[in-house]
Amino acid sequence: MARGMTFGASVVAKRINPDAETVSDGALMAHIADGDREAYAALVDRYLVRILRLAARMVGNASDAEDIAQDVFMRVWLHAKTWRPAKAQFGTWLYRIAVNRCLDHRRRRWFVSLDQAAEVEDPKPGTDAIVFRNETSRLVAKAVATLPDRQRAALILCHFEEMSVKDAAAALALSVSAVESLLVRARRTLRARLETLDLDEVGYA
Amino acid sequence: MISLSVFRRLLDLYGANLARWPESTRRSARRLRAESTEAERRWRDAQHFDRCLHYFDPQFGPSALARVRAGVLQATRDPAPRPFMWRMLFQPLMAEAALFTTVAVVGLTIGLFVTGNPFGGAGDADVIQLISSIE
Repeated sequence: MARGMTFGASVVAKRINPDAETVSDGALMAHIADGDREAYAALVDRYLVRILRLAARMVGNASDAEDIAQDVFMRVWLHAKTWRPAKAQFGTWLYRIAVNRCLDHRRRRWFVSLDQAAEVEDPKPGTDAIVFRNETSRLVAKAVATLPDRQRAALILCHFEEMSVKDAAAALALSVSAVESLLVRARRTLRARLETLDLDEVGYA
Repeated sequence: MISLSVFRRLLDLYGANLARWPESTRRSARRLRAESTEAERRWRDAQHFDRCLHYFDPQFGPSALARVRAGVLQATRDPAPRPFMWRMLFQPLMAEAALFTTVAVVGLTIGLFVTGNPFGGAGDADVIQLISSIE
């Protein structure tokens, strides 16, 4: 498909139905690269919740996660032409952008003074904030937040996003053995911290 | 059959859900669990840990999702502001232009102070006399 012919007749003639679940990410991306906003909206609908939850788990803050998700999708829109299907699956490419944004965000936050950090940390209670189900979820979130960045990223991608170690390695730009090592360390550290947690007491047995 | 140490490492890598383990290891893992109380205990610990992680489940309400979606889609309709044409043309010369302007202003100021009236020249009478002499 000719690029740069955003609203040209040839593109309209080849327009896909972006709502169809059978349309592949690659097909949507080809249209997005040509400026097709419907294809973009379909892709956003497909991945928005996943990216929001990934960002929330990575940075532990709902409003920051929203900002990161917006930035991630904006980059997809702006850089759609740079995605190469032969080099990486779309999901891997998207997660790579998202994880890098989350890591950048945390690095920047590291330089924020304590006073400013306190302001940023303040969560907004209500329906829009991250809703953790109870005290147990807060304890788990707190334990995960103490992990080093790359260990946390590896755990989130492999456990919560159910990515294979190979795909997670591609998303993190690391070797498979490095991700395996990160995963093992993350799980061992967390398990030691959470082994005293009695799930039966909180009604989840 | 896999050893207990390999079993433990696989638990650390993939968790207690054997469906996520490499297919070639699943049968051996089940046999080890059945035959080793230590393996079974390790597996139950891993299962408890997985259930703990299950709680780390951030949720976004419909209004938050709608807000982020609207923001994401709106951003594609707001093209990056284009620089003005004169800026595009003259941006590379801005430093030189600033230097020239500064020198000119300094020169004029010095001229004003040194000569008193740098714009004051010949009066009307002088001009008439000059024209007459030419004629």
